[in-house]
Amino acid sequence: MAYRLVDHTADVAIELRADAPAGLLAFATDAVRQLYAGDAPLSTDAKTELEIHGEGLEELLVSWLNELIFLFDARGEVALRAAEVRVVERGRGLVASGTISLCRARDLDFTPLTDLKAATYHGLTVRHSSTGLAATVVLDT
Amino acid sequence: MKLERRDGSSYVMRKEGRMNVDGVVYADGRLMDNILSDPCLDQVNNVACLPGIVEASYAMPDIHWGYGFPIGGVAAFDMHDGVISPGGVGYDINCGVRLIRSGLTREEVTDRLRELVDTLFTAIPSGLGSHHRDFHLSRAQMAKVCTTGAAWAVSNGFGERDDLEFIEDNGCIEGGDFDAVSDRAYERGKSQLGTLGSGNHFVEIGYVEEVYREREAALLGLARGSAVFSVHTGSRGFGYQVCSESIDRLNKAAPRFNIHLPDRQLVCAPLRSPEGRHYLAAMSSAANFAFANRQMITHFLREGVERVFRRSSGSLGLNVVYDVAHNIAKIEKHEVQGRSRTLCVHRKGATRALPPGHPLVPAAYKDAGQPVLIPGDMGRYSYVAVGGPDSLHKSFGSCAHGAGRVMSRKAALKSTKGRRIDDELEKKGIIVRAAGRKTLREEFPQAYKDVADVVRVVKKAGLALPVARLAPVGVIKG
Repeated sequence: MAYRLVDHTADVAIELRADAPAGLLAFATDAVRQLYAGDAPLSTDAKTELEIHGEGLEELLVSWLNELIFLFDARGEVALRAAEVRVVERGRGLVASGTISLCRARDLDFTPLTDLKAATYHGLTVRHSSTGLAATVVLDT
Repeated sequence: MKLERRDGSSYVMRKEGRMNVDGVVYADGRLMDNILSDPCLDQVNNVACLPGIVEASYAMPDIHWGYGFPIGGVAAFDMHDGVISPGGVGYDINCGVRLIRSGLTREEVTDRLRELVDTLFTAIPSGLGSHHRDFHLSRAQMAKVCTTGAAWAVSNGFGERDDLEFIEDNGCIEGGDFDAVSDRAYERGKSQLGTLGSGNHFVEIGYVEEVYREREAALLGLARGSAVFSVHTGSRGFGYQVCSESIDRLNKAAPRFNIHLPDRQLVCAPLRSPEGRHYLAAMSSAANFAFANRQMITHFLREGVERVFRRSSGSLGLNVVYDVAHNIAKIEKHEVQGRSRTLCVHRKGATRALPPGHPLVPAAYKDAGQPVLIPGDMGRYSYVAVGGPDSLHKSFGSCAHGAGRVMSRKAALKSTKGRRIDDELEKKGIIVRAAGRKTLREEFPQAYKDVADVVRVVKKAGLALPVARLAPVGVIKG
C-alpha cells in the first residue's frame, strides 16, 4: 500500500494503492511531498484542517491534490503528511477531511523539485481490486 | 481514423462517426512520423466531435499530446450553438511570447554577457513558485489587472504607453471580470505578477542571426546582428487556478449539457450558457493577468539592461516588436464560406497569425502582417515570421507556437545524467542561469524537436512566412 511516481511526457503521474479512500488521500499527500521536496529534511511548523468535497472518489482525489498544490503555490506551504483522514458520504457526494502537517518553506532556503500546476482528469482512474483501491492521476507540471 | 495526404504540407482526417467536421493536420511526411508516435491525432478527432465546431479541427505542425485538446490545436466554434472548453486553452492561460528589439549589437551584448545574464536573473523573479516578497496586488488592483491587462502595468509605471500598440489585442481581452475569479485564484496570483515561473518559461538574450525577408524585417525593426530579448511566460498560478476550478465547475454541469465527452479534460459548456460565459470571463481575466505579467517583466528587463549599459532604455532602443498569446480562446470575426461570422477561436499551443492588411495588425506592420513568434530551444534558434496572406482561410489565422518536446522530463534527466548543461552551452557561447536544480537538464536542447522542421511546414503551408532567425547567447530559466 503506497504510491509510485510514473513518468509521463512533460508531466508526472501518481499511482496509488490503499485499503480505503482515506488511504488513497494520505498516500497522495506523501506523493506530493516527494514531488516538491524529495527526501529533503523538512520539519512540521504548522498544521491545517482540510475539508474537500467531491461527487465521487475521482473528483475527491483531484480536488484533494489541487488543494495541496494551492497550499504550496499560494502560501509556500509544503504538505508533509496527512493524518486522521476520513472520507464520508454526505448528500449525493463525498467529503474528505484530515489534518495536514505543513512546512512553511517560503521562509526557508528551499527550492522545490517540481512545479505542479494542477491535478487533471486525464486518464484518471480509481479501481476496486481484491486488495483494496488502486488509482492513477496525472499532474500537469 | 483514416489520414489522407492532401498536399505536401497537410493531411486530412475525413469526417466520420461522431465527428462534425474534418480534421486538418499541417505536417509533411517527416513531421508526421513523429506526430504518429503520440496519441494527439485522436485528440484532433475528439475536438472535431464537439458541438458547433466550424470548418475543421486544425492541428499545427508542432502538434503533440495535450490535456483534452492537443497542443497545437485550433478550433473555432459558432457563438449560437458552439461550446467553449478550458481544455482548449490549457492550464497556463495566455502563455505567450514577447520579443523586444534593441539598438545594441551582438558584440556589445556578448562583451558584457555574464553581467547581463546575472543582472536579469536577479531583476526578474524566476523559478518554481516564484513570487514577490514585497509586492502583493490588493483586490482592487487585481480587479483592474483582470479588466485592463497590460495597460494596468503601464499606468502603474511598468513600461511605456507605446508598448500596448504592439501586443495582441493591445494587451487586453474584452470581458475580463474579477467577479468571475475565485478568492483562491486571487490568493494564488496576488504575489506572482511580474514573475517568470519555471519549466519551459524563459527570458532569452539573442541576436538576429539570419534575415529571410528584408522588407518585413525592416518594418519589424530587426537588423541582422542586432540584439533582441524574448520573454516566454503566462498567467502563472492565477491562470492554473482559474483553469482547475473551471474544469471542476463544468464537470459538475456536464450532465445538463448532454455533450458526448470522450475525455473528461475536454469538458465544455455552450457559449450561451451561464457556465460558458462564466468561464469566458474568468479565462479573459487570467489572459489579461498574463499580458500584465509580460509587461512587468519587460519593465524589469529594461531596468536591468539600463544598469548594465548605463544608458536609458530609450537610447538603447528597447522596443516591443510584438507579444502573442498561444493558449487562449477569443471571440473573433471570420469569413466562413463567404459569410462573416463571429466565432470563439480556441488556440492551444497555437499563435494568431494575421495576414498583411488585417485591421488588427499594428499600423507600422500593416504591409508586413502580424508578427508570429516561434521559439525553439535554448541551444539552437527561434524564428520570427509574419502571418501568411491566406492564413485566415487555412487556419482561422493561426500558426505553430514552438518546437514541442520529444523527450519527457524524466527521460531528459536520464539522458543528461552526469552532464553539466550550463558548461556545454557556455562552450557554444551561450550563458544560462536557472533557478531550479533540475531545470537545465530537463530543458536541454535535444529534449525538444528542431523548430526548423516546424517552420519549414509553416512556410510551405502558407500559415506564416519566416522573416528572421534568432540565435541565443544568454538564457534565464525558471
